[in-house]
Amino acid sequence: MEIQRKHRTIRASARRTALPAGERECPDLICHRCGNRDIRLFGWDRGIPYCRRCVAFSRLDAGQSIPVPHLKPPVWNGQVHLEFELTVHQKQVSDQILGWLRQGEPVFCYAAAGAGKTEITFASIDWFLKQGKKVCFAISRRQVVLEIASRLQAAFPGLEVVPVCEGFTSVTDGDLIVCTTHQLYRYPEAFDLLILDELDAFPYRGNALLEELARRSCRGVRLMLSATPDEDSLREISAGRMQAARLFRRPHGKLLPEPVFVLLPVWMQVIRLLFLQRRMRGKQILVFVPRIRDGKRLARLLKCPCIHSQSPDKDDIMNRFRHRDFDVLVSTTLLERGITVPSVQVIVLKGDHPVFTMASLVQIFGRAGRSFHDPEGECLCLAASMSDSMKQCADLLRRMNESVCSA
Amino acid sequence: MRRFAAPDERICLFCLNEYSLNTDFTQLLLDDDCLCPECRKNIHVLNRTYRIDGHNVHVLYEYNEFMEQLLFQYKEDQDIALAGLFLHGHPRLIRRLRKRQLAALASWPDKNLERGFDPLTEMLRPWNLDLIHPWEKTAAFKQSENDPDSRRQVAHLIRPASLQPGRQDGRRLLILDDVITTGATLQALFDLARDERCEALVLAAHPLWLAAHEKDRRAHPAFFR
Repeated sequence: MEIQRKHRTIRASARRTALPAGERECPDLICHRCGNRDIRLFGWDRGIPYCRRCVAFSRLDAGQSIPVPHLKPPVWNGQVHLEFELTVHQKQVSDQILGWLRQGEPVFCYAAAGAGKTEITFASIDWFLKQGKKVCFAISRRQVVLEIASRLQAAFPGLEVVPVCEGFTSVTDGDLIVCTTHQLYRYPEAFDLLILDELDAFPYRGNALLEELARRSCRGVRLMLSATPDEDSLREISAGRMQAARLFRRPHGKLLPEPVFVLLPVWMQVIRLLFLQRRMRGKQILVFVPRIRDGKRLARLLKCPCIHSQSPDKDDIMNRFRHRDFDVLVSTTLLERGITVPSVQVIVLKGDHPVFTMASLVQIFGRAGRSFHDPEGECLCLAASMSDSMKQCADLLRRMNESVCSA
Repeated sequence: MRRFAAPDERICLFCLNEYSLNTDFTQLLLDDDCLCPECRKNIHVLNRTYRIDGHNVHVLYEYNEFMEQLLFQYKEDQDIALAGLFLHGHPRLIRRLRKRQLAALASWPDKNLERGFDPLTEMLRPWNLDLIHPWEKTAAFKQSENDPDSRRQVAHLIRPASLQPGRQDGRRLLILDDVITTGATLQALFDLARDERCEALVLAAHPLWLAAHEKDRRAHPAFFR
C-alpha cells in the first residue's frame, strides 16, 4: 500500500556541504537511491543503517537496491500538432537540439522567457517516442507540471501524457511523463530522454539530492532548459561538456519587454499601484510581491485574489484568472515561471526585496508580452532602491534584445 | 567554561545541514542541541497546562507546519533517528515523567509491524522511560485521515487492552499522545482510565484546539517547571 505523502519542501539537507567528501565516507555504506556515502547522514535502527538524506522519499536501508520500475514503452505514431507553426529561428534551434541529442550529447537550451522553449522540444520528444524510447519532462514546480502536461497533451493528441506531482500520484506511468523533480525518485534508470526545465529554480537549484535523483533517473541524454542558466551549467558549456542552443527571439518577433523601474518608498509604491490598477483597467495584471503576508494584505486592498504556495485552491484561482473571472491577481514568486497567460501586464512590488533575485525578476517580466495579440506587455518594477538583482535583470534583458536586433 | 565541539562536527538532526555554534544566549544554553538554530526556531514550545473536564492536559509544542513535518517524517517515513528530538532539551519534564506511570493507546499492530517501531515508545527510550499500553484500537483508524465529526466518534473504536499491563503502584497515571486535534481520543482514554488523578501529556496541540481551549488554560502551570 503506497503511503500517501504530504507535500514537503525538500530539506536544505541536500545542499552541498563544505567538508571534503573523503573524510566522511564509509566504503560499506551507500544509498542506492541518492548515492549518499556520508556516514553522518545515515540513521541506525537496531543496528541497520538507513539513509536519512533521502528518507523523505521513503526509508531505504544502506545497500538496499531499488527495483528498477517496469515502465511500459511508449506508443506513438501520430503527428505533432502545434497551434502555431514554429518560426524559422525556433525551427533552427529545434533541429540543432535534436541533432545533438541523437548523437547522445547533453544539451542546454538557453532561451528567453516566452521564446517557446517548450515547443522547440517537441521535435525531440517526437523522435524519441517514435523510437520507442522513454521520455520525461521534469520541472521544479508542481503548478507548472499541470500546465506543461496540458500543453503536451494538446501537441501530442492520442498520446498518454501523465502528470506526476503532489495530488497526482495514483498514475505514475504513461507514454510521456511530466513530473516535478521531486518525483524523479520513482524512476531510477528509466528515461532515455530527460528534459529538465527551469533547473535554476527552487527547489532544484543547488539541491545536490534532487540533482542526484535526476542524474540517476536518466539512462540516456539530458536536455536542460532555462532563460537564466546557473553557474554550473555555464561552466559545463564553457568546458565543452554540454552543447548550448540559444533562442532569445519570441515567436511574434517583438523584443522582450524591458521593465521600467520606479523608485519610491513602500507606501508610495502602494499608492502608485492603485493608480496603475485604474489606468490598466480592462487589462489583466499580475502583481508580484515578495512574501505571502504582503500578498494577503495587498489582495484585500485591491479586492482581488492572492495566490501563493499555501493557497489550497491554486488550480481553481489560475483557471478563473485565465477565464478572466477577475483582472488582477496578486502572487508571490509561485507564478514567476512556466505560467502562460495570453495578455498580462506585470507589476512587481518591493522589487528590491532579496527574494527577487536576478533570475526571478527575469522570469517574472517574462510573463508579459507573450501573446501575438498583445506582444508588448507592460512591465513595471516598484522598489525603494535599485538592487543589484534589478540592475542585472535590466542588463540581461537588454543584452538579449540587442542580440536579437543584431542577428 | 565548556569547550564546544568543533563546528564541523555538528549536523542538524532534521535538515542535516552542518552548523556552527554562535554566541546567541539560547544556543549557549542548548549547546548540545540536536537541531540547528534555523530548525530550532521553527519549533514553537508552549509548556502549557489546560484543565479539561477535571483532568490536566499538558501541552509541549504547537502543532505547526514544522512539527507536522517532523512527526510525519518520524512516523510515516520511519525516520527513527528523530525519536530523541521531541523530548530533547526538557530535563525537568523528563524528571517529572520518571515519577509518573506513562501510558498510551497502542498503535494498530499491523501499523507497528509496517513501521518497525512504536513511535511513543521510541521517543522515551533515550531516557529509559517505560510506556505501557492499557488500551487498544478495535480497528485500524487514523485520526488524521478523518473529518472532525468522524474524529469525535472515536470512543467506540477504543477499548481496554486484552492483556492488561502491570502498573507501578503509587504513581499517577499520565496518558501520552503525540497530537491533539479535537481531543476526542484523549477524552475516550480518560473515560476508560476511570482515574480522577489521571493527567495527559500531549506532544503537540493543533492551533484550533488551542484556540478552542484558551479559557481552560491554567495561569501558572507547575508541570514544566
